[in-house]
Amino acid sequence: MDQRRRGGFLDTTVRLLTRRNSVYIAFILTGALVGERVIDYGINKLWESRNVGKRFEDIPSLGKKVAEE
Amino acid sequence: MIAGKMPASMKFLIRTATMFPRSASSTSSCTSSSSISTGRGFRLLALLGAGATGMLGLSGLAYADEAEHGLQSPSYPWTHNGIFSSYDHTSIRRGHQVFKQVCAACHSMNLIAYRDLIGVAYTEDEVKEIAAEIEVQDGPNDEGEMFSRPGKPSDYFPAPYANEQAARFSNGGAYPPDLSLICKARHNGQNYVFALLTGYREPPAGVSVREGLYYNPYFPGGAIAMPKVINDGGIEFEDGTPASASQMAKDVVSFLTWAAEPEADERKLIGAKWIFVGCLLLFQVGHYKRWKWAPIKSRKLVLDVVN
Repeated sequence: MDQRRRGGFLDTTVRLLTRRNSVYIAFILTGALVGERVIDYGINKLWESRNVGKRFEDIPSLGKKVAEE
Repeated sequence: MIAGKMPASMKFLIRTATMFPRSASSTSSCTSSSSISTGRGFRLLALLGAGATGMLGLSGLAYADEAEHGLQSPSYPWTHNGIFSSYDHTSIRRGHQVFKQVCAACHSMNLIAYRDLIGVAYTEDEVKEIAAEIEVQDGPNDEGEMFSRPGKPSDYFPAPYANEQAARFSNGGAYPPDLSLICKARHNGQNYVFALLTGYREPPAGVSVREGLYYNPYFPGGAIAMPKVINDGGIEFEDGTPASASQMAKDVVSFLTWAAEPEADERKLIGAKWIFVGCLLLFQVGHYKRWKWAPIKSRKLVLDVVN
């Protein structure tokens, strides 16, 4: 039998993170904070690329009503 | 809707039909009686029969709808249809102008306040200006008297009639419904409203509507009390867009759809983000389950039985 199992990338990562519970918790918390910002940014960018020109900020005559006065 | 994608069952059907051409037409002669009794041919026939019954049954459902919902409206390609599609806010802005100049004469919209338009169609200063155009009755002042003041963004859209009876009296007994939720309250709301507004026409031969009503095939019953109000050049848009009837109808329906579902843009974004996160979590949870179950699934049971 192999004494040392050759681990893949995922195997090594999971082992590193779950060995100690403190590391695990820290990973979850920072992962949530950082991950939410990354996912927000990514999906907002996708949304804006799909909806070019339809946003509120893109209205051509914005502010014109007041400016006419 | 079904155009581009064929359900897997249909692909299977067509594949097996081409593989066994003779068994598909197995109702022809006695020589093919063997093909009916073979498993494959019989299964194919049963599948075809089930499919045909299903489709006929569904078409019956569609016909029954017309008495209840009026003529089925076409599905227009709204730019806000779809998981990743937002409202066209310029269209909402123009739609509000159409509503204010054409519809507000008879229809109330008492769930929408002027401030709801901030950040959607107008800036805060523009909204203050629009609100100030109306007069609002306000509560007792220090002397106990009701007084009249110009509108503020926190006021709701004004109602054209004091109550339902006044509305019915001014419109020949018919009540112009409140439009705040009309696109959710009617079957296939946005397509229905657009088709209705642009669908006025001469009644077909033999059909007559009484004095005071107008023929509109999309209205359940065919006779609607509202005359055709969306006409070419009826209003002038502030941004100079040519005001054809279909342009006005499209913009007002965008506005009404927004009014019924103002949270749609945010809802779609939240859905996209959290379904994505959910998919990631699926991998994590799946791995955790299999990790916990691994000792159980890889055990060997040895039965040491002495007879």
